[in-house]
Amino acid sequence: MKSIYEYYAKWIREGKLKVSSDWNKERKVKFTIQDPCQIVRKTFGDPIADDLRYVIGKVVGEENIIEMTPNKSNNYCCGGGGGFLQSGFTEARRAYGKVKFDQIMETGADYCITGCHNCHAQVHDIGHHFGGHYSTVHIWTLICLSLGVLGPNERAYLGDDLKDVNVFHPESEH
Amino acid sequence: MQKKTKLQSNGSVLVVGGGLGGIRAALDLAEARKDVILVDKAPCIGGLMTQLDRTFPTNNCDLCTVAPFTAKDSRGGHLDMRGLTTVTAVKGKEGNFTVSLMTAPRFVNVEKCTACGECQRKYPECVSFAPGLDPRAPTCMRYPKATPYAYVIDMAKCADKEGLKQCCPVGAIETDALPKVEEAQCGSIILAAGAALFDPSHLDYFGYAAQPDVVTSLEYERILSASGPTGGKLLRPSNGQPPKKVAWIQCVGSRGLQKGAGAYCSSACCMFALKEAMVTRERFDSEIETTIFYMDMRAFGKDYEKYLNRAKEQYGVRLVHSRPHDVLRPVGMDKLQILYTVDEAPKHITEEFDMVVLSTGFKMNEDVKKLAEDLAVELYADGFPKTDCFNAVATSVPGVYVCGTLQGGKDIPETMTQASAASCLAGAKVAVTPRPKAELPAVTPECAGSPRVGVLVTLCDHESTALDTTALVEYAKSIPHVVCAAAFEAACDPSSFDAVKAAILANGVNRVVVAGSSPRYELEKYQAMLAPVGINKYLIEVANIREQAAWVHAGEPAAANAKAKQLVAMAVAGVMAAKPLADHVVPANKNALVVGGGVTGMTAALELAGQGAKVCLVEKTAELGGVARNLVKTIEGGDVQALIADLVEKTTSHPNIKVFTATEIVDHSGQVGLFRTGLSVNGAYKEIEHGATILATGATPNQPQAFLLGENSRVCTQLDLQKVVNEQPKEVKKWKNVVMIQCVGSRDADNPNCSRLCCQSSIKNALAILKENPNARIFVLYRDLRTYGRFEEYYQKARELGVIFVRYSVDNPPKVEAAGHYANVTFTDVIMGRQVVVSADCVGLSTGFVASRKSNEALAKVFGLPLTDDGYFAEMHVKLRPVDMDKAGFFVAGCAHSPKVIAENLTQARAAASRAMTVLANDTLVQEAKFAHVDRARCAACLVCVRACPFDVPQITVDDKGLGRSYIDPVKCHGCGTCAAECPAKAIQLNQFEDVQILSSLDQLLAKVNA
Repeated sequence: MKSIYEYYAKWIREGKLKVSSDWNKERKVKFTIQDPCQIVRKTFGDPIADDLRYVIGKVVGEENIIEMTPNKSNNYCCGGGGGFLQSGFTEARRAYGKVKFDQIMETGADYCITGCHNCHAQVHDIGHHFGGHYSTVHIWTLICLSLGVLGPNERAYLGDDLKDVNVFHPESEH
Repeated sequence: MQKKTKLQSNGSVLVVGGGLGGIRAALDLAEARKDVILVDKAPCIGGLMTQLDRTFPTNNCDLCTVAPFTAKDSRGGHLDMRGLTTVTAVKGKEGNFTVSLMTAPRFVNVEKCTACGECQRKYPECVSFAPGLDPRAPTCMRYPKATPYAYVIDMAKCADKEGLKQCCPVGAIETDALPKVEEAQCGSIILAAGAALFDPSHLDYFGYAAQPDVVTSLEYERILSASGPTGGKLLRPSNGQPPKKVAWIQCVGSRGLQKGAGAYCSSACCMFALKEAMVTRERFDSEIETTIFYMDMRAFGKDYEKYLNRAKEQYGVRLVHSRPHDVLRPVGMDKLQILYTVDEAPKHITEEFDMVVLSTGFKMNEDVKKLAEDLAVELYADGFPKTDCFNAVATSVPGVYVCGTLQGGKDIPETMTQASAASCLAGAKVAVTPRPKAELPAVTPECAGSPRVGVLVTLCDHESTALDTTALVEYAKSIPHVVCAAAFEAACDPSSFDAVKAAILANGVNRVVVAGSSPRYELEKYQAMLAPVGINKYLIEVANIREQAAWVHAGEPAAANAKAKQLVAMAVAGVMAAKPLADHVVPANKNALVVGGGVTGMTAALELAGQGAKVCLVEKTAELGGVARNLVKTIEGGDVQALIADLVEKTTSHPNIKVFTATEIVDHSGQVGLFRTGLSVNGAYKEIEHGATILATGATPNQPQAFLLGENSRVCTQLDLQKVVNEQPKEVKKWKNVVMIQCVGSRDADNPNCSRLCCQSSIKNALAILKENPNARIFVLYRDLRTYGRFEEYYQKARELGVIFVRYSVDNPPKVEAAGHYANVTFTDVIMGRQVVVSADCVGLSTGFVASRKSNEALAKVFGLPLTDDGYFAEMHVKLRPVDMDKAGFFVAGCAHSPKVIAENLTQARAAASRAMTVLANDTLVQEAKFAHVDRARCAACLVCVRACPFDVPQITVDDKGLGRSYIDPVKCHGCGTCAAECPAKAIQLNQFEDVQILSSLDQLLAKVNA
């Protein structure tokens, strides 16, 4: 069993995935990274977190990453896993997620990148609920953005600042 | 008979692995006069225990009580020990294996090497052993007291072969040595090669790979050890400073918690963490805060609960019920942070520590796994061998046995028990090899010549830090008649004995004082070691300066040193007054008595009978089978009733076994090899003679007055519950709620110990109920869930099936009340933080066992044996001699030792049989000269001795002058000394303890007072 992060990193190193962070050179949009528990802490450890960072660095520019503390294998749980997102107990889930929210807010980043759908839903929800200023975006979305293949209808989770960047076939919006 | 000859055709047993288990197995076989080949891939024997600092529960090392007996001349030539040797191929089957052995070159001639260490000094990259904290280098002695006592070279890492060769002053280095390949025939094989330890490097959240102050338990042991990388100082690897706060995290690599972890519980880690915490505070600094983060404190062994209480109450070790999720070292911070939560408060706690110890469990060793696969031994998915549910040491391949941590994680006593059990079964397959007996040394006139005393100080520096060995040696030299005194460091290493022997010969020593540990362990060892240099065994005196000075005055070095000097001076005075004595040889009785006809007693009897011993099996009740008659199945599904039926059939039909039911033991006399025991068989007296005795008298199911037991029909014990599930499945199908309560009548003031078997038995019953009635809701209320070893997997299965486990604290126990048709159980759920009431159709109480105190006390009195505080029989050494008893020739097995499950009882039965065979293998018996003798000229035939003797030995006989005088038969005398103390005319003296010896010692002690 392997993680897609490992392949993204490998394909970028091999030049098969021609990503670029040029789009963010001037903009300097800041990103922080949510390390998913299942993939990092529980399964592959720090090496996969490093792969994820390598990919993100290539996509948004290393200088635009702001790390959470603690991170990688020691990252805090988002609070949405284990069926919590579907099970009801919304108040309890959000209370649990407050730790994550504070951690993200402390970075001051504009975006929190998540690599797992579950984290994405929770991080997005707590950001909204607690009135955070950040947007939540999947790594896949940013890879596509940097490749210039992200269509106009695939930008629901991007903030207004990135809605018009590198739009692929803008005519397909309608 | 034909079968026996066939199986006993090949003369050797191969023991793979020279750790503690392998040593024990090999020694048992050699002592039972069977040939053994002991191989280990390491250059020297000792295994994991040699790397530990100390062991629980005594918190000392004690390797010296086992290892010296592997000396090549000590086992009558039955033991062939080979280091650096691996098994490369195995052919054939039980009774006739052909094994290929490859011995790697040591590049050092062991015969020539004096272990001077010159090669190590010249090649400074050469280091002594310290796993994980020091790299291994070309010349490597694994631990300071290695056996054999010689260096070994890894030639692949050596750049300057010629230089290395030249540096050795005795020319022991052989740079061009080649591997040696041999074939050996053997009848059976014991795999005792141990286990690997879980490597937590990949668990980044614990920071082990990145943080020097996060260490594994074994590394922490090495840091504590005097032979470790810090020379016995407790220092943080990151900065060399002593730590102020140390934390332990339990279950790393066990209980299926982390990636790569086994699903099983490793069984030993709770205890070693407690030990490390206690030793940290006891030996280094009582100000160091020690915290253990645990899931369940599994102190399930004999008296381990008391050890746990001692850790908490006496040593102030802090126990936190939590699984910490992170170990961090924030940038710029010197300390580590542990992040965790606790049951009581759902909040995030961050606490700082200087060091974090990961209690890493056991896992299968890959090399061993390969060997097991070559032997076609069936393995579990985790690599450990599958063993029979009633025979934990038998693999799927006949003739191949396992023991120790290779069989599954465990501690030292259980390793020793399994090792003896494996040697029992393996030894049954090979013949006894007769060897000519060595003549007893003659008592020469020089023995009694003018006293020339040698004093040997044999303290381990790391065991007796309070004592100044050098000063003690200097003091000993100043005592009159002491001609030589020396410190002798490697008391656990047989090879280093040569230096001592040489010193004794060079100085013409004829009397020896050994200043070391208890004479119980030391005396026999030194008697055997010094006999070849002509020291009469009765001219050796032991001064126990370890227990009596270093340990009892651990915090007061001045007092300890002063007392040690006095003890040595007293011993010198005593040995000067001692007389040389001669032992004599008498024929030994080769029969055995087994007391107790439960599954343990029957198994022990059958193993002995199978090896040719005649056995008397005595059972108090009218029927064989014992408490196991109440059991249906084991947790693994083993049919207990079928086992009993099979054992009863074999026992009653075996030509070598005589069964006495409805029989009690009424009297007992004699000594090992020559016991006489009186039986009351259905009220009629009968006397039997035997050479060894096994006690397998079991224990009593507890029936405490608690939780309406015996008052409410809904409340029963787990034993009753099992019967109901088996016999009334229709009733079980109606049940909606079942509550089980653990630790009822165990771990409390009346019965302080854990009954060990109740956690698995409640899970066994829970699974059985769910099989009949999958809709039943089952609650298990527990304090610590002690499903050690593979029982853990059943615990996990029960949780998967929906059994609800709720922890209760001893201050807030559940309540049971009658409520019409139901029994209402009220308890507090810690996680929900509220009280829960369950209307239960059935309340199963895990009541465990208590010692059969009354009958044990009666037996202990007849046999003269010690009991523990809670009434179980006490073994000789809780760590290293778990089935031997203080009285030679007596062995204990099963629940008479402490409560345990059937498979463990049967293992102990086989272990006891193995130990008993080491006694019964002897045709003759050396009768010690320690008996009372009468000076007939002084005797007035007053009959005081006749009345005082507890064994009815003295008789008034008529001598050739027609005078009636007391006579004490040396063969019958126990050497207890009662008559010598009572005799009003001082006509009786006890050899080895004559008045003059004792008075000389006392005079020495009181010399200043008298003056």
